[in-house]
Amino acid sequence: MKKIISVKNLYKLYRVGDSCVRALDGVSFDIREGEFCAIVGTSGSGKSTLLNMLAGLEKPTKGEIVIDGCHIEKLKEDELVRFRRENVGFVFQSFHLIGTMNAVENVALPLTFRGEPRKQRMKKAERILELVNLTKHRKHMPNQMSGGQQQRVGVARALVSDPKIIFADEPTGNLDSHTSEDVMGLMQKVVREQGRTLVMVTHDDHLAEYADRVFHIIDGKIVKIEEKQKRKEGGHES
Amino acid sequence: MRWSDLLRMSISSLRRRKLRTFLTVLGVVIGTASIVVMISLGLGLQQSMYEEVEQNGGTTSLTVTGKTGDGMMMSYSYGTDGNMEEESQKYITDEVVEELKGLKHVKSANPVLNVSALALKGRYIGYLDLYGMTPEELEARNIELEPGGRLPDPDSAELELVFGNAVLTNFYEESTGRGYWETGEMPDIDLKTDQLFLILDQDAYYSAQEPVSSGPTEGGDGSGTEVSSPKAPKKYVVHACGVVAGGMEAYNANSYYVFCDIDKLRSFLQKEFRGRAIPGQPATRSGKPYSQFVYSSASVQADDMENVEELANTIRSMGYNVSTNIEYINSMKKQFAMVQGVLGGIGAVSLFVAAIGIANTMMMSIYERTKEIGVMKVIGCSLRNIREMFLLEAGFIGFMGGVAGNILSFIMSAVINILVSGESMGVGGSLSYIPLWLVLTSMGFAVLVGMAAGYFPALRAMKLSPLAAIRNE
Repeated sequence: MKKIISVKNLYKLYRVGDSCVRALDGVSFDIREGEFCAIVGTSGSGKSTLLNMLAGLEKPTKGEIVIDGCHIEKLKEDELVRFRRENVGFVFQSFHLIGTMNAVENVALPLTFRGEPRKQRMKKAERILELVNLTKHRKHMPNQMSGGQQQRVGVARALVSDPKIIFADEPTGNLDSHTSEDVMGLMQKVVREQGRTLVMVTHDDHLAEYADRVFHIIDGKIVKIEEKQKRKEGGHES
Repeated sequence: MRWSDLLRMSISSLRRRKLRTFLTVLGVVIGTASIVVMISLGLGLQQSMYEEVEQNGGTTSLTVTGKTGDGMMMSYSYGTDGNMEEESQKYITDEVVEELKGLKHVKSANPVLNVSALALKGRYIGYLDLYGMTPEELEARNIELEPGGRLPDPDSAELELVFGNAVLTNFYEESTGRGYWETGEMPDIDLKTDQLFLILDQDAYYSAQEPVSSGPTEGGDGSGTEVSSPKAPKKYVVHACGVVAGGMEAYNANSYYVFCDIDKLRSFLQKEFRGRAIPGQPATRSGKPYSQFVYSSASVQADDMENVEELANTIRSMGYNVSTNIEYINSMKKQFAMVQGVLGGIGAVSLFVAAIGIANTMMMSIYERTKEIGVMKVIGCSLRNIREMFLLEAGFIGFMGGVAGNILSFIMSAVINILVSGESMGVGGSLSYIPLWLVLTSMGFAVLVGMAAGYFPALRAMKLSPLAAIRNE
């Protein structure tokens, strides 16, 4: 399978007072197209830093990140924004929907930034909402929806622009276990059906079971990469 | 991102905090209105000045007078006995008028003869400020006559007069010496139909009246020319061919003058003062008249306003005195520019305060929406779009303020005009005048101020780190 993300010798150093903290300490790995990867680690292990760097929100101190043949560590900020707009979908821990817009408008937002005409993007957004079973709630404002519903809108928003890669930062962090299962199942389904690459960060080993591959990260180093070839069954047996 | 989407988002975020938006807009409203109203006052003054100038012969006319100490210019003093000899003195004669006509940029040049005369009617006596002009010149003066009136006919045998509408205020009862200004009553004369006696030789008239001694004689001059025989001057029967339009109170540039044909006036004068010096005419030392007839002034029309100054300088270099409205206008323009600057400056201060308000509101808005801005950046909203969104928001505040401010200024302007016209000072036109360009400029200015005030907040929003947004709280 084709490599879509390739990370080599990635370092990120923070200066805290006089001492230097290595958030990432020489990380290298590859992610293949259509893969569901989970990055698992305790808080402070550097997993979020890694995700931010993959998404181009933070600059690495050293090392290179190649996504779809593009060295994103070398891009400038506006180029990064364009890169994200065209290639990346994002699911946030606390949903981050725009409070003044209803569900459809929130989903259509990435298309708005691309300059698509209103009619066209509304149609697309409705279709995606149908996919996440929220057609009934499409005119609801974020504060009129439950956490699970909001996160499903969040997933829909990440999918609407038809991105190659979806990043999810603790997508179930603010949800109870039942809705978590719900959302995870949805994400898994979407990745499988549409053949997208999903990179998820979580501290929860149980959620990582949904993934095809799990990277365990401790103190800025990848200590173990688990392959779960038996896809669907793996989730519940372990 | 499309403009319509940018606009929609900006407006929706303004609507999210209605009260704050309203208060910010209110600041701009007051700022804009104060600028517009202040400047409109200045413009109103300027406007009425222009109207006055227009009545006075417009912007292209020049008045050329000879260069002497006195005599010619002061129509009421008929003492020409002071300075009379110098050959170097410049008089406006027919030759000079011809010469003026030949100059570059001159459209027309006409002589003007100004004398004062007495008019008698029944028990009333009045002073007339008599202006002899060529028919073309009278035509050019654009005198508005009462219906039925016409300009003097140069071919008429009589001296036909056009009276200013306020000339009657200079009449008084001969026996009491009381006129309109004392009694408040108009003399019982209808200028349009009544015939008057015109006396050109005032000295002779007063000399003849000497024993009667009619009050304080106007211009108690001791000109000893008429000591010999106090023979009564000739009274000419004249009648009006027209009266300047407007009632007794309405003032315009022609109100106090009496116009007649210049050639007629000249021949009448020459007849009256045969062998003597005509008042207002320079005389030789012996009291003999100057060899040529001298006019009070020449009225020159330039072909274009632009050339008036050049022409004035040319004529000045020929040795004549020139007065033009353009100089008056220029000096007034400077003054009005200053007045408007000061007034506009006062208004600008309040708009400046409003700008600070806008900047403050935008700052607050950006702090509140840090997360939202960050999320937008993560999802792929370009930096330029974010900046535009906030600039548009600030500009929109300015725009709303500009529109409302202009509406407010129109109301205020109307109120001012109504209040002032109540106690009309006889000055025509309105005190406050808002032209279209002022509306557009002030609106544009308000938008500009809004955007300028929103620029740094927008820049700040653009530079916000997207990380701040997705960092979990």
